[in-house]
Amino acid sequence: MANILELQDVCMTFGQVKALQDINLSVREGEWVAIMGSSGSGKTTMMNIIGCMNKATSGTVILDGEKISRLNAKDLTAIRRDKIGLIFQQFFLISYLTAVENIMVAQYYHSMADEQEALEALERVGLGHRARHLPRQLSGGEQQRLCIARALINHPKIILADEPTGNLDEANQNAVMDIFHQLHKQGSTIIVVTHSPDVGSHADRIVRLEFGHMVSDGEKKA
Amino acid sequence: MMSRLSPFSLVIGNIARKPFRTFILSSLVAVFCMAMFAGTVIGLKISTGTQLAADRLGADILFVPYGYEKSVQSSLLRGEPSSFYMDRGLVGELRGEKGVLRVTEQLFLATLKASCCSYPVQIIGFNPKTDFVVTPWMNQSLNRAMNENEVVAGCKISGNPGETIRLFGREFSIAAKLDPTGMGFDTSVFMEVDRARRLLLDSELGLLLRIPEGLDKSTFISSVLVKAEPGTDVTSLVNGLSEKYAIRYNLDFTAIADMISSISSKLSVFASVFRMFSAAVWVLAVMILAFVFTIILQERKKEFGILRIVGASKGHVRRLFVGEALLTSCMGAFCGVVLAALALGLFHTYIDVTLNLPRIGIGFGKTLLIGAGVFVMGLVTGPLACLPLLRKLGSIDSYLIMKEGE
Repeated sequence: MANILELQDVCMTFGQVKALQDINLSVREGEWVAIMGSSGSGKTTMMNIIGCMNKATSGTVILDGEKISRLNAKDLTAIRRDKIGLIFQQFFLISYLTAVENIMVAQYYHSMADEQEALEALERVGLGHRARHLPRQLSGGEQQRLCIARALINHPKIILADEPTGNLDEANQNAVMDIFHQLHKQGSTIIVVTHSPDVGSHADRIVRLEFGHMVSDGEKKA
Repeated sequence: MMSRLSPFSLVIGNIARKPFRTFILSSLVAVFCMAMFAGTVIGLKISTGTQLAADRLGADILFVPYGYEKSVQSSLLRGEPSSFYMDRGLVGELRGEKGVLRVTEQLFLATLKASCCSYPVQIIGFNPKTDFVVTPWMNQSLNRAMNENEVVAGCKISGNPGETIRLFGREFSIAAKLDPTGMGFDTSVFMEVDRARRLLLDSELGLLLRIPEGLDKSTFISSVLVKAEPGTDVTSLVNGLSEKYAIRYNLDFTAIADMISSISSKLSVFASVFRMFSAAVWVLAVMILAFVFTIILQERKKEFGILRIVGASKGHVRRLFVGEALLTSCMGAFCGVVLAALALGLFHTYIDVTLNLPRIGIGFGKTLLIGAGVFVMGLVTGPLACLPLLRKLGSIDSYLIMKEGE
C-alpha cells in the first residue's frame, strides 16, 4: 500500500514554545493509526496540521501525494473539504438542522447536496429512522454516529478523529468503534487521537507523543 | 422538512429559530424606514404644495381685514371655511398706485352646514371682469360665462356638472368642476362676487356672519389681491401701500411669496424633525445591530467553525452572516415602508389637518420612488452593521473553536 500521509521533520513552535519537534511519520492507505499522549504532548497540534487547520513552522507534509505544508488557507480549506473527514469529541452539529440536513451541509460545501445519499449514510450508521430529528432529540451516541456519517459523506481519503468516544458511555463507545472497524475493513484510512488505551488498542499501530517528540511508533498494545 | 439545502435555507433556518431576536432587529430597521418614508413624503408634499399654491394664486400681495391673515392662509391652502369682511373702496384706490398692474377682490362665505357635503363649504365670490387668480384655471373647465344660477365646484365638492347644489337655501346648478389644485379651492364653490353678496344678504344664516357695522352692504368684500408690475420690488410696494392704507382700512397685508415661504418654512420643520429623527434612528439602528451582531458572532462561533470544518470557505461563512443581516433588514425595511405608506394613505386627512399641510398628493410614481429609496437604505442597514465583523469572522480558527469547552 502507498503512503497516504507523510510528515517529514515537522516542527511547530508557538513563540518560544516548541509544540512539535522533528516529527517523521508515514501512514499507509487503509491503515488505522492511534496517536496517543498525555495533555500537552502535542497530539492536538499534530491533528491540527494533518487536518489542514494549521501550517507547520517547518518540515514537509504530504497528503495523498500533494505537498500541503506551504499551501494558503483557501487551498487548505479545499484539501480539508475534499480529503479529510473530521470527527470530534464534542458533537459539533448545527442545532437548527435535522440529522439528514447536517449531512447535506457537508455535501453542499463539497459539491452538491443529495438527500438520498445522505439518508443512505444515516442508514449505514444505524440512524435511518432518526433522519428528521434535530440533534437535541438524539442521544450522545446517536449524535456521534451522525458526526461520523457526516465525516464520511464526501468519501474522504483520511478519517481524522479526535477523542471520538470521550463523551460516550461504554455501549455507545463500542458502537462507534464497531463503525470504525467496518470502515477499516472497507479500506478507509483512520487516524484517531486519543488518550484512552482502550480506544488506542483497536488501531493497527500506535504513535506516542511526549512533550512534542515522537517517542514510539508501532506498539500494538498500550 | 427541508429537502433542498442552500445558503438561503440556512439563513432562513437560523432566522426562524430566533423569532424574537429577528423581530427586534427587524423592528429597528422598520422604525427607521417608517420615519424616513413619512419624513420624505411629508417634506415633498410641503414643498410641492406650497410652491403650487404660490404659482396658482398668481398674486403678489394680499390684503385682508386686520387679524384675518391666518384665516385667509387656512382658507387658501386647506379650504377651511372662513368669513371676514372689509370695504371695497380699497380696490379702486390701489388701481391708481404706481407699481400695481392688476387688482381684484374676493368675497368669502362660509356655509355653516351644507346639505351637499358632510363638511362646511367655502364659497368664493370673484369678479370676472378683473379677476386674474381664479379665472385662468377655471377657464380650463368652463369656457363660457356663468349664468345667474350657476356655480363652479372644486374637485372635492360632491355633485357633477348639471346637478344641483343647495347653498343658503337656494338651488344652484354646477356648471363645471375644477381639476384638483391641492389647495383650499378643491373644497370651495365659486360664483360671481355680486351674486355671492346677494346670497349672503338674502339668507337668514347670513345674518349670523360677521359683517362689521358701518360697512356698505352692497359692496363689501373679504380680500384684495394685487399683481405687481414686472420688475417691481414687491417688498417696497407692500411697505408703501401698507403705510398708506393699513390704518385707514384696518388691514392685514402680506406679500404672497413671503407668506408661502413662511408657511413652507414652518411646515418644513415637521419634515426636518422627521428626517432628523429618522437619521438618528438609522445611526442607532446601525449601532445596535452592530452590537447585537457582535454578540451573535460570539454565540455562533462554533456553528461557523463547524461550517468551516465541513468545507465552507471564509467567503461562504461571511456570505451566510451577511445574508442573515440582509434578510433581517429586508423584512424590517419592507414592513416599515408598507406600514408608513398605509398610515399615510389611511390617515392623510388627519395628518394634513394636524400638521396644517396643503392637501395635495405627490403622485404614485414619486411615492413609489421614495418607498424604493427608503427600502434600499433599510436594506443596507444590516450588512453595514456587520461589516466591521467580517474580518473577525474570517479569522475564526475552526480547530481552536472546536477544542474550546472540551
